[in-house]
Amino acid sequence: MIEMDDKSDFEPKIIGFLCNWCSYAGADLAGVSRFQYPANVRVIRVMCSSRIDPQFVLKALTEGADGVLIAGCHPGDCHYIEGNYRTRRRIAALDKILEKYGLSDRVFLEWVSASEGKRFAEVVTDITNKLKELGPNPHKARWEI
Amino acid sequence: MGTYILENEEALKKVLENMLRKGMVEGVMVQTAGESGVFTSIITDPDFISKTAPLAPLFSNNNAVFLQNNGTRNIAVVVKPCEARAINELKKLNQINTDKLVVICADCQGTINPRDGLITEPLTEAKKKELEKDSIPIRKACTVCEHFTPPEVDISIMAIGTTGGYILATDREELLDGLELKAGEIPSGRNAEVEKIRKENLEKKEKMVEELDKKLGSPDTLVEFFKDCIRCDNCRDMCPICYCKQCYFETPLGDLRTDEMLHQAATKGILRIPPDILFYQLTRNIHVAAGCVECGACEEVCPRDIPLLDVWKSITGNVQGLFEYVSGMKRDEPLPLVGFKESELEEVK
Ligand code: SF4
Ligand code: SF4
Ligand code: SF4
Ligand code: FES
Repeated sequence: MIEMDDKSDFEPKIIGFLCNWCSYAGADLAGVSRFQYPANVRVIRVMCSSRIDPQFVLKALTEGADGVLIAGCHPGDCHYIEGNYRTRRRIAALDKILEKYGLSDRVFLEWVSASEGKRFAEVVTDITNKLKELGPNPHKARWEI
Repeated sequence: MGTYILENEEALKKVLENMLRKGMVEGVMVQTAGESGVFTSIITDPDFISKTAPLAPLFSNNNAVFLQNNGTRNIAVVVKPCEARAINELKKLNQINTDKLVVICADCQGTINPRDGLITEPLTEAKKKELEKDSIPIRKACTVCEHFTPPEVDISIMAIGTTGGYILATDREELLDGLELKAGEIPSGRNAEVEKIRKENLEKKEKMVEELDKKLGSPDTLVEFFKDCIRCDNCRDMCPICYCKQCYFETPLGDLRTDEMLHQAATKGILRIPPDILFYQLTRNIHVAAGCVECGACEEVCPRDIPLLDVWKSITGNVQGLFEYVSGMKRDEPLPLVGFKESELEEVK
């Protein structure tokens, strides 16, 4: 049985979908540059942010992930020219839905380039803190959903 | 655009019969009185047209579902505005060829689910009062409907604003060949009357959304809201906008057999059967919101009486509003989740 973590020592579990060309490389750079950031993100590499089907996000949230990070190249820099513009629309639509259900605060869309190792570390620190504040995803302890 | 007077419903039947007899279409999809009720039918023999009730205010399902992959033969279809919108939306999604359809759509003052009562004459304010006395409910979707006049179609039939009878409007005058219709005009007071009804319905919709917001709004209440769902998938099958030929929930990933159920159970140590209630509902939300026509067909067919329409009323406007889009009003315009603009949504997340 999963115990609900006490808020004080709660370490959020974040699923991070990172695009291969920018954000994954940015995360890599954060690693080799030895920038400190919390180890709360489980990274899943995708070829482009537009590969991230909103269903991935929903699956993560209903399975109990505390947060979901979607990260891709900055608008205008997508390796496939327009992938991230599509991602932006999809996630904006998804967000409108999640807002209704009080789940919007657990989903983060960020643009991180391959040279922004420092920024990647900051993004992860920032969302980890936000999720700590928010507390665990209640669906984590719930099986009848 | 030609505008003509139709004295009554019989005159509309003449239009249908004429199309069929002249071979402009091979069939007409229209509501028809049978022995045990009124049903939507496809008529190929013009003699059956006399039995039809094209304007009957009945709605048991959204018939756009049955027009998908419509093939190469021409038919005329008489539909409600929400069905016409679904047809337009499916046209943009390449699921319906509107070149092979003559879509005929009339103003809709609300409909009744035939299981609640069999009314064949179109609703008027007086008729609605009568129904209320007899406790025959107007469908919930209709009481909060914002788009109850024809969207872009081939032939529009206008009732609101006329003093008895109808005005037929069409850009395809060849469809009226051989008929002697009197020219008419769109009544001057029509717009004001349409807006008045829209305003009333909108107010009711806003109340509905407000009530729902009180019930939803947190992950806990979300579970409560959908807890009775048994994953019969009726809402998906009867939704015109849920058009996928292979739904995720029919694939090996989404249609779990015991091995996969055991695998999934292992995450939390236990799994509810049928699985993925919430995941299914949320998936339908994101797949449909940008195109939902708020017809309420999903709720009509839910065996567990989950107020699904309330959810759609609550999210559809917000999602479509992001892209300044109203689904199904036009046949040719970019779909919101296909197109994009370089500078937009900078504030997202
Ligand atoms: S939802 Fe609107 S268009 Fe559809 S049947 Fe009801 S009133 Fe008519
Ligand atoms: S989700 Fe429901 S209300 Fe929306 S189009 Fe589908 S059946 Fe109609
Ligand atoms: S129709 Fe009702 S019970 Fe069936 S899957 Fe949809 S919400 Fe669940
Ligand atoms: S390749 Fe990075 S967002 Fe498309």
